[in-house]
Amino acid sequence: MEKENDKWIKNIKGRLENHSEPVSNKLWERIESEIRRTPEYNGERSFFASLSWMHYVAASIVILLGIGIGLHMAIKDSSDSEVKTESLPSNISASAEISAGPDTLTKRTAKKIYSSEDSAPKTALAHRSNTSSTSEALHARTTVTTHDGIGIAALQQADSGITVTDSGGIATHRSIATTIATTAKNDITVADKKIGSDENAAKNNIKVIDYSKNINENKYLSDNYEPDYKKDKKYKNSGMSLSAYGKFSGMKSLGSNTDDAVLYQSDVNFTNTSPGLFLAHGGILPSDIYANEKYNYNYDFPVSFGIAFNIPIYKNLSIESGVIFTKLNTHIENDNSSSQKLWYAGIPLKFYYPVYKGNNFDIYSSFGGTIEKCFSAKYSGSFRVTALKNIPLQYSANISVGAQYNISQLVALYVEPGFAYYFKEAQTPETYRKKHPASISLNGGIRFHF
Amino acid sequence: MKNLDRLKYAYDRYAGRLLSVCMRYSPDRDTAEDMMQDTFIQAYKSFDKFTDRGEGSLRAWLEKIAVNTCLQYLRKKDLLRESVDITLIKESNLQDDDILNNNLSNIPEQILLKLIEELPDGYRTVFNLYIFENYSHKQIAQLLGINEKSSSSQLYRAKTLLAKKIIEYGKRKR
Repeated sequence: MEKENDKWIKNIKGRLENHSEPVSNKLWERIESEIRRTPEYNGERSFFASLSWMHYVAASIVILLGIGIGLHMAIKDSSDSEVKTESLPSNISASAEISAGPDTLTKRTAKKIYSSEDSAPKTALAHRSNTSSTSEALHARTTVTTHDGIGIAALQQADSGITVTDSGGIATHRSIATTIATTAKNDITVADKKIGSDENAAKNNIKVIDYSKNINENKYLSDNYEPDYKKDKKYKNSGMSLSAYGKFSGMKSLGSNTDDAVLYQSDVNFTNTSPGLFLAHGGILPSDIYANEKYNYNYDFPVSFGIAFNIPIYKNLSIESGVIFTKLNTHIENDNSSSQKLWYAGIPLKFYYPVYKGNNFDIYSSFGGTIEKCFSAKYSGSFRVTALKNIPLQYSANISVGAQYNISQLVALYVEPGFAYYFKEAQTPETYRKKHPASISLNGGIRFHF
Repeated sequence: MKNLDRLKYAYDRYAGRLLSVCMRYSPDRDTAEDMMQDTFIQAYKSFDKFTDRGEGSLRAWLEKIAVNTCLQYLRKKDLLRESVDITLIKESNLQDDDILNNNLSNIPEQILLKLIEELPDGYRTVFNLYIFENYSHKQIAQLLGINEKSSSSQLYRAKTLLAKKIIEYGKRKR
């Protein structure tokens, strides 16, 4: 039976092809109401009119976050540059010339230098006593150490001049001056240790420690003076103080502890343009390091990859989690080059909210955080590595805006520029993220919908 | 003119016609109205792609969207699969063509639609695609994911069942 030959079929087709059913008035209202809810309809309206209060809240948070972090970074940068660009006072260069003179003159010079430098730790101490936050206290510590280091540099220059021009009694004063520097540094380092171990304890200790007492010139210039660390067994094997003086020849005489020394970030700040990898690492220690050597740090851009799943939780809001792996390489260069390679595994937790939904193209916003654990840390180079352990967890917060192109109902390509802030601790390894805690990220990938 | 205004214009002109198409594919009027709503939403989203080629082109474009929307709806509700089992309907021979045609003259369009609505979903869908959309069995088979023989068989059973309903309706009216 062919359809063309069936008259009754043709009859049905002919009558129904142009048939029109009566339509209820409410049907259009229903359709219109549904259409007004579609992103396409909202896209027809002006951009601002289509924004809901949630969009404005999200935009406000982003702006406030940006301003806050920007200000934080600006303040931090200015304080860092203040320390790093500080030059030696003129009296230090003068000291090298004067130190070539007679014994009494040299003694007076050493005294003068310490009198001059004495004020710097005091200033820093005053600042320290008034600080309410640990970060400011840490900054104060850096300033103290830096000024102290300036004094040490002056002494070293004086020392070298003395050594050349005098083989007699001046050497005694050289020894005294070195001892003064050693003791002062020792006390500062002890205070530093306390600050690092406990914030509250540090704040209390800051108020108690009186550096002016330790840098009492009459006491230190006395021929009968015996440094505190020799009296106190507790300090004898600490190693902390030794490291601070790594550049001095006098230190070598003190030590078998050289191998155990830990070089502090503040020390590196003084002699080095880059922040301290060595302390931060919890133990990478170049055995032949000298404090006046220059180290250049180069960071590879962090590269991450991972897999995540997204689950709708409420209306358009969805949550995404998974696992992400990140590689962080740092290259250290001076006469010898070395590098560290760290691998982190992390668990992100992000909230997603769509901003625009088209047929094949979506725009969305996301915010959240990630917790990461270092699972592989390798160091290669000529420096001796004492430890690569106790690396703290890496926490970060991030916010981003993503664009997604839906290839099909199942597969989509996305690109997600964003902003991330990586929280750091004293023991956080020296990486790109520590150097640039606030950074812009660019994610991209394939997304599967199920 | 914004797309919503254009859609309202299309609705005013072709809503009845499109509802008729949807009713041919649906098992009841409520489902047909849902299908029609989806049809207009889809049309609204795709209005930028529509090219006006003269008289009737808007209607043809909307009807095409309606048919596709109806098929999607049936697939989504899994209605097509449910009615694939054709063995449940006892086969019977088709009535004489003239008798059927005579009976049809006494049946209004709304009743005709009702009789088509009463067909099992699979039969009704194949019947519509073959008779009204002029699809071949090969095309129907590809579209519905069935084989050609199944399409042909379902069409035959659809026509047999519909003929039976027409005769029965005629008998009741006498």
